[in-house]
Amino acid sequence: MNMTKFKKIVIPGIILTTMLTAFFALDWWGRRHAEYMTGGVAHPSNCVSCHVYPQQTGILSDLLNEEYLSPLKVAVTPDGQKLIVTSQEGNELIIIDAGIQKVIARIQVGIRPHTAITDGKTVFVSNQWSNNVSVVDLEALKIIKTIQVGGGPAGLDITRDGKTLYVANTYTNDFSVVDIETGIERKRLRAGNQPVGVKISPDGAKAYISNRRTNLTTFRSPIETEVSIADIEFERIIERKIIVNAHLFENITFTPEGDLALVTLIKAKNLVPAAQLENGWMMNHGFGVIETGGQGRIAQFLLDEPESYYPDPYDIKVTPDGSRAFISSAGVDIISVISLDSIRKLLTHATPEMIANYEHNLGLSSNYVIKRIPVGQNPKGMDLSPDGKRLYVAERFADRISVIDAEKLIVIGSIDLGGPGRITMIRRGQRLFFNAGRTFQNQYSCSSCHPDGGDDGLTYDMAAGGMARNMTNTQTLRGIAGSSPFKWNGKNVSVYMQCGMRFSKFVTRTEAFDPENLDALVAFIFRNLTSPPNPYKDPAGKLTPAQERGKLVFERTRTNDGRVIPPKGQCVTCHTGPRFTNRQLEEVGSLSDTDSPMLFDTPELNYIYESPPYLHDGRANSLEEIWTVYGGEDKHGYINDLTKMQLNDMIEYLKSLGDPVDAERAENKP
Amino acid sequence: MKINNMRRSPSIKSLRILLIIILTGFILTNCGENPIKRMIIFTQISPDEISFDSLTGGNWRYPGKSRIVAVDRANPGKIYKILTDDFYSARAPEMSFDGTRMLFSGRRSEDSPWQIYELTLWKNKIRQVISKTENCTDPAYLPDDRIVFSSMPADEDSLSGHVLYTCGLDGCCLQRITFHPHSEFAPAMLEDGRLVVTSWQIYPATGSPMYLSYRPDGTKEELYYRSIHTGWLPGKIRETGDGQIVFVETENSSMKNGKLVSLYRGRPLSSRKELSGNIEGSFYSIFPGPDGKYIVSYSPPGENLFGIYEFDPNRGKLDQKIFEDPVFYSIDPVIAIPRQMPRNLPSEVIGEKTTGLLMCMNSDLSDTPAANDEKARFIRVTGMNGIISEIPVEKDGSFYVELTADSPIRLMTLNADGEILGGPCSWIYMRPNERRGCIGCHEDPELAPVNIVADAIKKMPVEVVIPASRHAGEGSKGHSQIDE
Repeated sequence: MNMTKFKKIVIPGIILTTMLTAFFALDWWGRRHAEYMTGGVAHPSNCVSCHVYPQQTGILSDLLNEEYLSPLKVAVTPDGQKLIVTSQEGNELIIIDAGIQKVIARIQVGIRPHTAITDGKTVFVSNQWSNNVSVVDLEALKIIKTIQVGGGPAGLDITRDGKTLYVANTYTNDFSVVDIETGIERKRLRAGNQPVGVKISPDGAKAYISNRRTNLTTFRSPIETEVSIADIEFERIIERKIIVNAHLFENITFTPEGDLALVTLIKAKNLVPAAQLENGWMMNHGFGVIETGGQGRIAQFLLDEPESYYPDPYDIKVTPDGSRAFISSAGVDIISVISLDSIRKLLTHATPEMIANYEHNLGLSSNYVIKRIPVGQNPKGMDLSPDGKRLYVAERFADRISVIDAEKLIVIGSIDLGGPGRITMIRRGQRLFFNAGRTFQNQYSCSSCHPDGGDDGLTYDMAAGGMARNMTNTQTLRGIAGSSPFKWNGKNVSVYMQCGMRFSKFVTRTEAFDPENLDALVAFIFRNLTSPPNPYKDPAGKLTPAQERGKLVFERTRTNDGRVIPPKGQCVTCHTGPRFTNRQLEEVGSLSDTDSPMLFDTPELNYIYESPPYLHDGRANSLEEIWTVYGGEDKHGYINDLTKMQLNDMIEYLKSLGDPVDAERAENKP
Repeated sequence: MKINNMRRSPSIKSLRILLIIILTGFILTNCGENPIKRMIIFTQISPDEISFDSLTGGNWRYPGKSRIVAVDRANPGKIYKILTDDFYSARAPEMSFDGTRMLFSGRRSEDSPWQIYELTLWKNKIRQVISKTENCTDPAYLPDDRIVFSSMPADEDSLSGHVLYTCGLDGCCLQRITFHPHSEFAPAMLEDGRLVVTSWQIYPATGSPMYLSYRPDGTKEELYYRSIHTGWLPGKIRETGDGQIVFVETENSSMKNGKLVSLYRGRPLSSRKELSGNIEGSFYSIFPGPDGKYIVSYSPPGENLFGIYEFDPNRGKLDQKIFEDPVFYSIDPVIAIPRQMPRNLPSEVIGEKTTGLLMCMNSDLSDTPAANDEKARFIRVTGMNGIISEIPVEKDGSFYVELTADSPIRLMTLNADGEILGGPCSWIYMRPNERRGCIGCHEDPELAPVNIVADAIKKMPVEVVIPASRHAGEGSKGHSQIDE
């Protein structure tokens, strides 16, 4: 063989063989890697879906993703001529001409606008991640004032005299009373846990504030969520109505007569073993009815039926004649129409036993649900035209407003808000996350337990290893990319495994996500679920003196009397790095009699302030309780020599972990 | 010119070859298309053959002579094809979710047992799916390349009628999934992934028929529908595209006075609606068509023959007659069309486990409360052959037991003196590793549980070992055993 032949045959042969070997080796490795990361499920070894789509920044991320509008709330002007829509992800206010059903203006507001309320001349918009309220001149179509309020402003309402604005501050658990003329927050009053909706009674005397999370109760006892009631004249809380075994009161409203307040709610069965989903054993969805006079009775009614569920009720609106209420079920893309006459009949002469039965009776809804109207993806906020003939619904993941004939109860139109036409992988994952279609009989969505991607603050009995064993405190999904392993016991090496077959078997109890949808879901979780700005941290990132002192305690290596703390007893040994976790399994003396023997994955501490209760089974109601009630043996850090002040300081420091409003979010990045 | 021609020839040749390939492909593609597509397929059965027997299936499930035929809806009145020519008898056609294959029950000869077969419609090829000594009937597809069917258990000692089995489409992995002394026929899939079957108790006394629902692994048995008219349920339920469940209910165990009934999918226990209203005559079976109309098996008044008709549910009226045979009954129609693939539910059954867990939140919660509001203090567990155990009830009325799997039991509530307060309940059984909860005993089945921690689950479950043999009182571990 001469050299030319050698060059022509052997060299390409070697190259081809090398390439084929490399290809097959990579393919083999890719398959093994995909199998390992997804728990052995036959998952295609598609590098892009796991390693490119979840990226939050970069050229590829920009190319692959779109900026959606995601309308959250809609308000109709008093003359019915305009619709005001908050675009949660577009960070803008969208003005629509209700007559021609077209967008006529867009006004950039703060970050994550939540609610808009208008008197026809001025619009107030709560910017939930900017901690302020924008005041917009509807004629000039520009912001004329910005009012600073508490953390995470959400629901708004204006007093009858038009002088005072009430603002629910979700992240600081209070509500602001704002003087509209001066734009100054006059008072800030303590609400329940995560206040979100505000409505002033038709007589103008009281403001009802709905809260999302349960008040802190004793371990393994029924949840108790508050409707806070404020007196408008004296601007003080006069009553805290507790609704038992219900939470996530997203919005609240009144009948025109003001005799009933109506609030959306979820009834989580967190104390009942999750032995099954059949017969509503995990979660029910409905609305609460509070009698404003008389005995002030509270009743709960379900939207669900024995074999069909209507999860994640969000908004509630009552027709001007008081005969009907509309409730948006975001998890199944349905608007339920409720006969309030039927509700009144059920309440008249009802004994306490009958009222107790109503809240568990899945068959009762056929008495008062007149119709289920299908609408577009993730229906959230709604508003009725002043004459009550039209209902406008914000279809959050369709970037549209649907128009419903409120008398014939049919969809008669759809207003395109001008979002991107393309549905990206992330958007698909977002739709999956907030939709209950992947749960047995549509019983709940991912967001039912992880509202806004966080946690619902509840501990569930997942019946793992037997009933009432291995209780599970819901963990946040915000910012979890790169923080493997997952689950309290660190059993899942990836979220693909967490949300795959095991999830199907133990949580959704129906068919597992197919690989394509699983990839979309995980990409959304990794890329888009981030925590709101930390209200306990100075916007400039500077620590308070107490937080500074607490930082020293957290990082200390010696006891107060100068002895060296062994590494195992130092906070920073396990809670280290930017996420404050070594991502290792540890034993911190928290195992209880009802737990199977296990170690626990060290949780990260960023934004720890937002996720009480604490420890794997949620037994500690506060950060303080971790050490004062449950830290007696110094297994969870060497702590018992600390003074009360030192512990307080350390807790102040822990609460400050996680960023305030950051530049990326300010630039509309999700 | 010559050179040009020579050059052109290969091109023409190539074109011809290409044309032949395209034509061959076209012909092959069309040959492969399902000729039965959208046709109505049903069973023809001799009128004198049908007699009901809830235990054995009798001629109702195993007729002496029957066949499966296809009729073109566009060309009604004529049989397009007899699909089971090679069979002595065949019945119960059930289409695959893609509408290309058909399961049926058949016997090759008068002496052979009824077995399950699959016909690939476009190939007209039949293959046997399972080979079992006992008769098998009423097959249905499951979403994961498995099937479910009804058959007598091999164990003659089991005091059971027909039970449900699942197996792979290749006949592998045969598993019995129901275990109580009931007889069960006509399994049908709901879109949510559950099975609904006609079931009635046969021991200690024959009960009235009802529809029960299961997950396809036999877990989570629930009452789906029980007729308030003590009606007979001769066939499968069918799910429509608009959220209705439709089936036929007769007044007694005959083919007469059959009514079309619908249930609302969200509330099957309390939404019965009679669709056939004042139509005289009798309906026997129903199948929802793709156009919103139903294909029904119907016998007009005064006639002793069941034909295939169209029924318009919106008008509540019969439309055109599609087929009627002067000799045979035409029953159990299906249409060769694709339909919604049901959810493939994950199984919680672990074969290696031998027990399941059952928790009741409040045994005093009942639609038929005890006299004087007396509280239950014990639960008596009764097996097929007598009392097995009595277990204590917690102060809040709850109890929590670990039961031997795949063994039927009934429960009774007792007061402090051991006197019976309520029950026995219907037969229940736990599959291996199954976890189930109930909120009471004979309580309103539409109630969801109250969110509380039941006292019973604060302790480990009470273990109740159910004897495998027919003799009462064997095998209970650490708990009282009382002979009945």
